[in-house]
Amino acid sequence: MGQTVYLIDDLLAAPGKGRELLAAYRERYVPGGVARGMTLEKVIVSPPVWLEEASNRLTILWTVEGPGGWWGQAAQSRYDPAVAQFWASIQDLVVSRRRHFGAADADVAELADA
Amino acid sequence: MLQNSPMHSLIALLHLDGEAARICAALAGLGAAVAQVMKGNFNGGDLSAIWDFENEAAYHAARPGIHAILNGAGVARADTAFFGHGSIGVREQGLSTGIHRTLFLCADRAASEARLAQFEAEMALMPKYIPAIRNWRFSRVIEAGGELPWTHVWEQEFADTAGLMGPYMLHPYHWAFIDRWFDPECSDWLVNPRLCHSFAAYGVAILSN
Repeated sequence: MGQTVYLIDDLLAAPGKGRELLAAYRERYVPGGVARGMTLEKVIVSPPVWLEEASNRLTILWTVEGPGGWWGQAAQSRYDPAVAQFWASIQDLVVSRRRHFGAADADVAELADA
Repeated sequence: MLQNSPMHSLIALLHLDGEAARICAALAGLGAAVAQVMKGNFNGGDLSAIWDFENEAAYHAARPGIHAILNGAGVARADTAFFGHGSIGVREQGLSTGIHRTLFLCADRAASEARLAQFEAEMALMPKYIPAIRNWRFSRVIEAGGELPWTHVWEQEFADTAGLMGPYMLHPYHWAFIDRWFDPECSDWLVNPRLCHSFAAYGVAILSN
């Protein structure tokens, strides 16, 4: 099961807080994610200008290898209080956040036929 | 909201500190199906025991005797869940040679009735997407004991352990969709990460008897 699995953090920053949110994420979340076997592929800032009166959306794309890699990172983060503490610590910087998990459309049939 | 039939069950996951044979016999003597919990469990105990009851009154009549064993010598701790049968499905009537998996979970994260209903509906659809789940029952707990106030019991029967470890764990409906309820990193997080994940081969049909 070597399909690439994507973990997508969709963070809507509080107005004017986009840059601060991304800095916190890079400084206090990314190192742990990498240590759990995740690869940071891309960070997309929408719109690509730091807004002061409105919200930036941060779309942060990670990858792991297959469902095994997915469970590997989940098993580590779930019981690590530092991970939950990080998400709690950024509450004031976000309006909303979602995490999605996906794969390339070409891999859907094989993954779902597990 | 899960539908409840008149039938009820009690599942006890026992952590032993000795005397397994005597405790097995005592539990069986009180009408339980008893089996040794298999390796690979998580907080699943050493012995699993399941009783069926016609109604709540029958459970309350049996309860003192059962709890005398669960709180007695040789039992270090027992996690228990008494429940009315909730959402039930049978694909393989009379399956007695497979394994029965029990998950005790505690949905304790500010669970509104609407959120609980969505969680329960999505959980109950797992067998639709994951054919390795041969028989299943998903129920709300009426009375819980042990480490946490367990709110739900998710039971499944598989043809063998490979069905549980392979297709069940690897299917994207599980890890990419359902698991967000169990994941502190997801905004839908609902379930306490401390679970009882236990599975055993009883040699009798549990969910389709």
